Amino acid sequence: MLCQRCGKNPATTHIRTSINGVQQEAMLCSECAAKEEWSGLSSLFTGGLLGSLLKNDLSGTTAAGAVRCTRCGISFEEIARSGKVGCADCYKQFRDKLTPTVERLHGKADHVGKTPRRQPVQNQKSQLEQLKEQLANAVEAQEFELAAQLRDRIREMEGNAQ
Amino acid sequence: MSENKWYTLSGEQDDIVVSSRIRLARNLAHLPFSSRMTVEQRREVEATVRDVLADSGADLGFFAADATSSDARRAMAERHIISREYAESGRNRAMMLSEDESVCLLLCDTDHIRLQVMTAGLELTRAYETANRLDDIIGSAVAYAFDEKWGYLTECPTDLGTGMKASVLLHLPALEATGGIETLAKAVGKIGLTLRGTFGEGSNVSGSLYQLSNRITMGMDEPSALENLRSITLQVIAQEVDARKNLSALKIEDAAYRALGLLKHARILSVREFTDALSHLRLGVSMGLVKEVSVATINTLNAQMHPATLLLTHPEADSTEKRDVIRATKVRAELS
Repeated sequence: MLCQRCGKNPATTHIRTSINGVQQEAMLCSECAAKEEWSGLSSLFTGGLLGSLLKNDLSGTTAAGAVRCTRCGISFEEIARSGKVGCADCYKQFRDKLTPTVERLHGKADHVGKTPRRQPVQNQKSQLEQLKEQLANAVEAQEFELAAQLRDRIREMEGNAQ
Repeated sequence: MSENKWYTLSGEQDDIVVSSRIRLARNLAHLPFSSRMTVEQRREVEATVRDVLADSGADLGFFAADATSSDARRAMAERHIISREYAESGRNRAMMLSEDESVCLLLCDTDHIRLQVMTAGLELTRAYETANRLDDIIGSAVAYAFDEKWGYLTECPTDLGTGMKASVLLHLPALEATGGIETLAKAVGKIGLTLRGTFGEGSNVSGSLYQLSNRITMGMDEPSALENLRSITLQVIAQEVDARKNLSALKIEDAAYRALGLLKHARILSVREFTDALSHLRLGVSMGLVKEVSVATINTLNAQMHPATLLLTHPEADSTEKRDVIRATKVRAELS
């Protein structure tokens, strides 16, 4: 078969992309495929190469029994299909499934280098959850003054988090 | 529009290294990644980043989502402010841009924040320092998505780790002429770098401009990655300088002056002619064979004369024919 882009050279590369959920497939010659890479390496990666890389890790899962990220609702299948991870939590919840792909991309290395100035997410969340528990307890015990104080602190923290 | 832009300034080795670029990918921890965001969540990221940077005194203009025209985006791609792939994708995200165009933040596209800093010449560390400072300002105000093992968490797992991509744009006419590019691309590929032609039409690389970038984001900290790219860049420069010795100086000088003659006198100048002539001229200037034109002038011309950028400054230039005439007029004025 001839390249679908230039129609001259034999097609040697199968390219699959997904843009906003719309799947596109093309058979290209190496020259046109290289151009594709040049003009948009990231788009090729997200839809095609990376997607197929991730699909290798799809063993044993079915669409019906798909496990979804409890935070953003994406399934691993959808990540594999689009090459795009849904949210930061996906990296925790699908850690085992993502690890082989991450290792193929980056080797077995761990991150070294810069760390963010602010990392309060974990602490702040658990602190927030603790406060909410205390608030529920205070309401139940009808300690309304304490409840009001707790409510204000929770509002303040939620305000900061946004 | 070229006054005080970054590309009018000088930098180390700027006859061969046209520009250095740093890009950082960052995401806010509490929101889903871009492809799964609601419009409200996008607005939240935009407002947050905008407010934080406004308070910091960084002088960045804000362009709301859907506010820039497709011609403006194409023009920005011509000046390497945004990628060509993004400019042609039809997506129109919010962005922040400094007056001199050296700093650009693209919001809620592939990642919540794509922070890019460009400098003239081989100035990776300087570009990184600016990027790092802005990143610290944002990172002090918001919690980034980050993992101890995998570093900065990004929508595409290829960017995990530092989330940093560093690159230099190189003018390599002699390596191209002596057939050394392919060997070089293979060699740098083995050590985690990528070399590829830029702004070509078809399979031709126009203007002998190549981008050398780092692929490794995991397991190597930012200073090491920058030093790695810098030292390889210096080796590529040495190879290019070496390859130039194999070419006839008289022929290079002749080609450079013919190019200068064309640029100074042409009444109709296509992009292709212009880019090729500028490449010959740059080589002549770089080798000290042409003295009346500076590298900064060449960089300024290069940033101004591509089609969408011309259309932006000259709205009447709505056809290739008209643009070719305007390009010739402007180039003549710049070089006279």
